[in-house]
Amino acid sequence: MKTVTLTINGQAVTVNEGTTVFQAAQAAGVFVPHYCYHPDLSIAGVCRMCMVEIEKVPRPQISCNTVATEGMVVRTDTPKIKDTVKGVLELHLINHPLDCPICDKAGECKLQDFYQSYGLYTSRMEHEKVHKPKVQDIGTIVLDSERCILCTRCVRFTDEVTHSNELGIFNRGDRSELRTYDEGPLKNDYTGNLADICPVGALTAKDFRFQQRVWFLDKTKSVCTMCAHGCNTAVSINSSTKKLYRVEPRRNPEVNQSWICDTGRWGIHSLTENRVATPLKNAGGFLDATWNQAFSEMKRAITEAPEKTLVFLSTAMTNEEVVDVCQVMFALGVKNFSWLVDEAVVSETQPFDGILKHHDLSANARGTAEILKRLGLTNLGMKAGIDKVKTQPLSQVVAVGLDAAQGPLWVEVAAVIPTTTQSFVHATNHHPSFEAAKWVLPNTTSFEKTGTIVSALARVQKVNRILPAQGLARDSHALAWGISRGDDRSVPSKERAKTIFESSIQSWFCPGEKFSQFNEMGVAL
Amino acid sequence: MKLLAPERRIILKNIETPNLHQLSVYQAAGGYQTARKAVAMNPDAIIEEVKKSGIRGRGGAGFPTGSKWGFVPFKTGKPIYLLCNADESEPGCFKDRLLLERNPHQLIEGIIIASFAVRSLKSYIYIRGEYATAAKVVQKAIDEAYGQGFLGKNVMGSTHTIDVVLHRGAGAYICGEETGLISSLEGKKGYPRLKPPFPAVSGFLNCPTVVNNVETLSTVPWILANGGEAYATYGTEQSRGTRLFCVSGWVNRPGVYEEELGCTLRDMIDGHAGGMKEGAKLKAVIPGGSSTPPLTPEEVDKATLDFETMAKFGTFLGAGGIIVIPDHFPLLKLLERLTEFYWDESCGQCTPCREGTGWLYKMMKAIEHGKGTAQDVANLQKTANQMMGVTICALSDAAAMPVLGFLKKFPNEFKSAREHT
Repeated sequence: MKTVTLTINGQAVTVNEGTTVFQAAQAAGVFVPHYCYHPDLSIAGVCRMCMVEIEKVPRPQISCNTVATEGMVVRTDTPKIKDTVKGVLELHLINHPLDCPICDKAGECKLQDFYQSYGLYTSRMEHEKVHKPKVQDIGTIVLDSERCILCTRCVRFTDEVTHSNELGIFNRGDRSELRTYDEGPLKNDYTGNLADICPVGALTAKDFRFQQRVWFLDKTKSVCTMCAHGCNTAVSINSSTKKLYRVEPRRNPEVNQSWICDTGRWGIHSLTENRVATPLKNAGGFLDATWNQAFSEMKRAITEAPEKTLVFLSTAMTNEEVVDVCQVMFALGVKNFSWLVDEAVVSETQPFDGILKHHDLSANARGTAEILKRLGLTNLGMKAGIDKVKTQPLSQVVAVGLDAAQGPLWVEVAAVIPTTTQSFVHATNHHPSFEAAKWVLPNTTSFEKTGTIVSALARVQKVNRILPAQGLARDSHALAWGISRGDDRSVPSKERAKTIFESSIQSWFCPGEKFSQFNEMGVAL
Repeated sequence: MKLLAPERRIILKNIETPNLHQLSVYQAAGGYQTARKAVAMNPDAIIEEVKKSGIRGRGGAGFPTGSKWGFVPFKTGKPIYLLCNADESEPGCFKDRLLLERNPHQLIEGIIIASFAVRSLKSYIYIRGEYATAAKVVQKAIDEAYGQGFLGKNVMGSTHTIDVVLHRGAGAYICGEETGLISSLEGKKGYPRLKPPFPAVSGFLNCPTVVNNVETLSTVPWILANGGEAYATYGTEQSRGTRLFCVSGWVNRPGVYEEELGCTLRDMIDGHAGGMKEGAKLKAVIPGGSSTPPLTPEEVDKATLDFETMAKFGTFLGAGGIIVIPDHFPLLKLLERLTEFYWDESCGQCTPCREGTGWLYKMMKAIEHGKGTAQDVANLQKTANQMMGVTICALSDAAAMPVLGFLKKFPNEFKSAREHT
């Protein structure tokens, strides 16, 4: 590809031909203020904030729609540009309501930020401001037209990303207003992104409204495990209460651009309900028990009849967990392994909606299958595994790492387990199908563990622990370790994840990657 | 009163012929002969002739027409569109209306020639919604031209196809801006578009597009009939030919006058327009339509009507809308009305224009109603400056320029507001 070299504020930068001045500035590390520009949407050029001075061009130009050319001399730091940007910013603000104290965007609002960086003038507006409708319910989102700066990011999002064309700007001039076309609620599966891309507080997510001031939140980078796509996320918790408030997309051009679906964003709420809190032993009804009891009973049961044991591996487990569980079970003599997936859709590598959503809800089916192969174990497959339980009666079934986010895959298994077979279920949330299990053990969710997974796009990505384990939940490392020891003395999950990554996963899937500093964008398998 | 000198009539030559809008009358006066000649020519030769004429677009921006035609990439495989901008909406301008209502066939002949030159098979005449009579007349003329085989397949017996469709706008000023017009014609909201890409490369339906004003296209038959050089003998060095001036305001004979570029503004007002009504004293002249900064009486005495002289006085020839303002007329009222107009007509796409036009109007309203303050006057100046040269199209500038012009040239009008704190 041909390149061009230009200078921005005196600094030379070489970019591919066709790159805009805005992008070139980004590449040179020069920040250019902007509202309407978004890397994953078309150019609108309407906010007029990204003005730059270009040598031999009489007027300031918007950098987002100007293509960089060889030898171009660009400046963003001249008095003329500072004045222009300040002037345009002032016009953005003259009719903007002073809602900051009650606005959820406060703290991450670009009007506030740019006023601090480029404004700092005293208001000259002494006339009545333009008033527009405020709290407007458009489904998952609340629209405040008075706060809207009409950057059209949201309009372009529903036009270009979801192709649902739900939003438009109505009327003209300073009477312009954002609205849904049918005045009804938003209907696409990606509405939460509108609150993210809104640079101001015009579109706020109902889910987050008035819940938390953003400056109390800590963000951790992670990956969504609600389906096989593996969208990159940033998860926010209150830094002192450790309560989870928000899941947002984290830009990854190879995976999810700047988006996530509403299920990945808000699905967490349903998963926090009805968690399994303590190990439960079925004695004609579930009774609280201890991990110590569970481990010793499971070890004894498996050791006594390993050939009559089948281990169902949840595809919600991390690669490291799968290795750990398989190795421990194999060491105890178990030969029958099967993954828990929806086999009708597990082979689909692309989103069914052409955007991000997969039918396959298993976050790590690819990793699980690959690991079994590497370990020299046979994956019976779910259907065949179930048949095996039925036809050559196995006396015990162990289901490890079940996560409600993956859907109730256990139901199919539970439905065919003969009453003579005892089952041990390790799961995040309760489900009626566990009733026949001998033991139900609390599992951690993906927000409570650290490890790598392989997405449907064959990308190795790292899930990071955001919350402490809820109740007495233990991840599958702890489970495997406990079973192998037969008691509940120290369970070093974290160390095991790291050790397993370094001893096998790293060389198999992602040579050169470090566990503690895993590539934030993930790596191709 | 000054003696009435004859106008230099080129495109208005037969304007007073009764029923000129009828095909037979137009033909009897020699109409469509140039188009017949054109379709047998090399299209490049037509462009060359128009380049030689030096004619600059009559819609307001004054871009050389020949160059505009020359920019069209002919070999992209995409259809090329010629759009006739008949969305005359600048307050003070009504020349296109005259051409549309009285001489539609001259325009159609111009469109045939231009289409042939730029290899366009389809043209749209985008006509201002309020021009109901003109729309009827033009549609009838189009139908007549089709009936005679002057439009449609095998134009005038040639192998060329030229279709013309009349499209009525819905009355938005912004749809007269060429890219706003394109958006509107595509069925979208009349939002002007970012350039690049320029319409010549990617305009209507993302195809190469030429947008020309009614007057420009109406001049094309004369240029081709008489030669570009003949046309270029009229006018001044940088303002070739004749053009139509719309004189309105406090004059005895308001109307449309054709004159050589470079003629004096005084001749236009005192000669063609019959001088000031009731012997009133002149206070100001808006020379090119409401967006152009005004001239003081001293400047009017010195001004000639051409692009270069107007630039010297810090204003523009625009679309030829000369508004004559008498001494007794309150300038602040006029300026308030202008700011209201631009506030109402801003499309709202770019922030400086959307927010700025409303603010200018609010301040002017306060000042005009005696409630303005020194701060308002200072803010008016600053805000108008902030709106200059920072938006997609020129509406923001169009709103700011008269404000800046009146502040600069008629500071005394703002005296009482200035003294009010």
